[in-house]
Amino acid sequence: MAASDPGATTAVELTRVGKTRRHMSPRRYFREIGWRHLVGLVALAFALFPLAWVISSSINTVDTLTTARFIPKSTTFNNYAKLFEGCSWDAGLPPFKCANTTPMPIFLWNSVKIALIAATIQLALSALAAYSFARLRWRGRRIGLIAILLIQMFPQFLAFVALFLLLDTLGQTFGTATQVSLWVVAVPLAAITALVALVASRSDWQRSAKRSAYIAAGVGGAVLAWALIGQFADTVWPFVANYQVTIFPRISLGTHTGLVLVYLGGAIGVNTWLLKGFMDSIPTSLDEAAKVDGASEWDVFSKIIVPLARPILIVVFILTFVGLYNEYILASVLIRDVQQFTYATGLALFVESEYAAKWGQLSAAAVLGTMPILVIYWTLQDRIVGGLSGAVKG
Amino acid sequence: MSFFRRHGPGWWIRFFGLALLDGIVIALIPTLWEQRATVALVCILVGAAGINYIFLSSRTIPIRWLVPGLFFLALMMLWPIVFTVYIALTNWSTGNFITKDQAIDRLTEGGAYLIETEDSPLAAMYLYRDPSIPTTRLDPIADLKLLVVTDLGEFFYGSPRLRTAPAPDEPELECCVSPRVDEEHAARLGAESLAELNAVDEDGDGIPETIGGHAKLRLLDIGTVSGVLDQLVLDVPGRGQARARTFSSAVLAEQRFVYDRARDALIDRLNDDALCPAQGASFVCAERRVDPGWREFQGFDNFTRIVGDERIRTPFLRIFVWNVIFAAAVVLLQLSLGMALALTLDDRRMKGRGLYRSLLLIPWAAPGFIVILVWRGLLNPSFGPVNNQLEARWLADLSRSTWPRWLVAVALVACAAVLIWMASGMLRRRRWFATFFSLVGAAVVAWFVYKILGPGFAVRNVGIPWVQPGDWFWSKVAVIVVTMWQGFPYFFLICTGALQAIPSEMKEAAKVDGASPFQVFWKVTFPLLMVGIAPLLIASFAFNFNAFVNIFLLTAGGPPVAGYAVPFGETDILISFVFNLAVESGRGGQYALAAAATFFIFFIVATISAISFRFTRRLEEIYGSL
Repeated sequence: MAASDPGATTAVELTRVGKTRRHMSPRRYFREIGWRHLVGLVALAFALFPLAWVISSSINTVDTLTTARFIPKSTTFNNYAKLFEGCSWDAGLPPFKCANTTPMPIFLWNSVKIALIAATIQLALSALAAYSFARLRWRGRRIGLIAILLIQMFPQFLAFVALFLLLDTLGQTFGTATQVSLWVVAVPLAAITALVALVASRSDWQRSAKRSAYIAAGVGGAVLAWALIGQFADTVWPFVANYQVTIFPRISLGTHTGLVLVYLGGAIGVNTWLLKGFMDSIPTSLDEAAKVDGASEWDVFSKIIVPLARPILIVVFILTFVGLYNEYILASVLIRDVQQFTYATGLALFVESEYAAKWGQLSAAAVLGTMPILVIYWTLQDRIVGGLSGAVKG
Repeated sequence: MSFFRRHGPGWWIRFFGLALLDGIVIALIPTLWEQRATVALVCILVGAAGINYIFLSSRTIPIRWLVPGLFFLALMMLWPIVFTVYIALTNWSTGNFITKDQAIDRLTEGGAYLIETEDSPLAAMYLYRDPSIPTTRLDPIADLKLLVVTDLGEFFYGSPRLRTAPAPDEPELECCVSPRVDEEHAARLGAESLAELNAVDEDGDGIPETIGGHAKLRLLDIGTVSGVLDQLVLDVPGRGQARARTFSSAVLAEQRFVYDRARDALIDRLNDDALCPAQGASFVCAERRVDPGWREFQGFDNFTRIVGDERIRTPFLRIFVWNVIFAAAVVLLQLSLGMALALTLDDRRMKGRGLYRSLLLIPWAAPGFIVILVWRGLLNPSFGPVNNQLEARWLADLSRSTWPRWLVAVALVACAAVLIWMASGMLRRRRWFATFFSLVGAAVVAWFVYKILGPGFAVRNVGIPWVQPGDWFWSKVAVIVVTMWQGFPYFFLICTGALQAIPSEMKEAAKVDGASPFQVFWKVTFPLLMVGIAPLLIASFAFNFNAFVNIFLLTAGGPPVAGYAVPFGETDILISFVFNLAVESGRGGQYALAAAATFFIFFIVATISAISFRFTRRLEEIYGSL
């Protein structure tokens, strides 16, 4: 109740803050605090009523827009169930398939997959670049930083026509995936893994490194054995003999790989600045000490900077992930096949085809797509808000 | 063993990464060479050589860390920008998207222009079927193969398709002789290629009984294809199309156009070998353009069209003006609402401030495409809850009321003016200030009242026409309100943070000096807030200037405006207009015009960025030392 701010200790403040609600007359309470709650509640109502309405209609038995009311007469989870109608488990990726015209689970899977992959790679590329800007000294570093900021001011999606044609052109060369039998990849890979582990076990590596090497050897050996059995007894393991592994994916219009590559164009940008700023705040004495002990740049990066920068890395990853999850314009230009749609383009398609009639399902899909993002924001609220106001305080 | 110890994981990553990259590049060389993509090949080789140098030389260590990111930056950001410039200088569009050579190939060799005349050559035709499928379940397209033998002794064998079905990119020809050769040679070649398909000719009449597991269709079973017979065709690249005429004969439809390189013209064989010269970016036959045309460098034509052509300039200007109004209005509303809320909730004695903050975060944090689609449902003119509620509460009463409408209108406007006058007078004790705001406010309210009560608006029947279908006024109100709803939490959070950063001594000092709460706000808090927030305002303006999803998913730019050379709507902003021009336009993708229009957006965004750059001279302090 009382002010916890040690700075606010003037006489005026003391008399005012010292009074808790119990000491205030209702009239004074309203004049000083109550009206604030009133305004806050009105603002909350304005901010929340669309979401509240959607949650209510997603569990309403009546699933059309026309007859829906704010407080449902009876509730049901049918709308959620209907989203998964026509879908069944299936081998491969995604681990299910859907027969209906607007397969929401597939859209969600696609979105999360694309955003996860692109955000991970973006983060890695960005962190590498930030390390160079923060720790290494080279000519043109300052100009490079400003150039990044300037390029970033042009939104990438404005060039969607060029990106469309670029992917179309790339498709002429990379339009077919390179596939080989599983064992062609698995046998050499497993052999190399086992060999490396063997070498490691005889060397003077640290214990933890040796332990990882043993695990790798175990996995490699198992894959090797599995693949060999499959190769020589393909009646027993037809899966191994017939399973094709894509070693180089298709890159063209309408492929997720193409979309992810396009998203990677935004890897070096604002995030690099953020990460660089954080890395600047890590004392250089740490890496100097490590270098005296014989650490390479890579050791400094991977063993000192990355662990210390983990909080900002997580925030940047999440923000990138959410940004990519929300991306609509490039996804809608570059992907045309409904089964490949992201959640954003898929939901828009659903709305386009059957609006008022399936309002309940649309609401369920909206809740399904919003909740994970809100949970992420709420968990990281303080960090994100801190980041925002940090920019202002500067 | 020491070899493994000498090199850390960084070295190994580098080694395997380079090996993988070089492997891919080497694997690409033959493919690109075949496709004659010389420019791409040179670029890739130079790029790969550069990357190898950077990762092998010890003088380029700092660059190594940047290369992976820079690669994608160059490929997916810089190159598209440069390419957009190039597209803007061409006539690239749906009808003109291939090179001239490709266009000639399509016109003279593809299946688009074929003619069947009395002179067209006839050919013998044989049908083959998959014997494993019962005759009753024989699919006349999928389970059938066609063998066509011309008078020249050429063999063409492959899967037929229906004439009405779209042509596949690659014709399904399994065996053919092409281009034209002399009779004897053709017969030999044809027979040889048939033999490669395991053709068996038991009776030696030159026509195989089975080809690769497909057996010749018996006369008895011919009824299964009779329904589609006159539609059955086999595409033969370079020779046209074999079209079934009877059960045993086909006619070869031949190419209509022949290209005459010397005169740079097509010869139209349908119209007595008339000449179709190349004009502009396509061949023109008797003043009719032959599709497809080709893309051409056109210089600044697209830009002059946007500036000079009345029927493009007017829409462009209208959209531009609305775009600026939209972005400015949204940012101002977001700021005022966000700041007012932040000031209201910035009292340490309040309970549950954290809860307010968490919940007010929602509009900003929720995925944009979802909330916009939800709003579109809420604002639906006929079924939407917003209209239902408004109608049930006020509009129905209003329309039933026996008061004269003008009286209601005048009363409403007068009330609003007085209220605003009082409020602004409280905020700032200056009469001109209050007067000015009450006049502006009253004008805005009057406009709304006019839109609701004025002529041409039937409250009773339709409710307020927000979006899809919407009236121009209410659609604009809807996009502004929804975008404001989405963004005000951002300013609320920013202002809350900034308020806490303002030292309370300054406010206290002002209070001790006898300043009223409003004076403290206007003279102390507000200026200090704006120092930090001004750059963000500009950034927010730039962001909302391109708020594509809000426009595209909420109103789709509508309601549409008719009568111009380019399709656009009342609520279209530049980016959604450009998007429609390139992707959704009924006139086909006008990529070049879209790219040229993009440039105006580039230019505007760059101007905004330049302004914000000057604003934030203290950039280095914000982002840390450079």
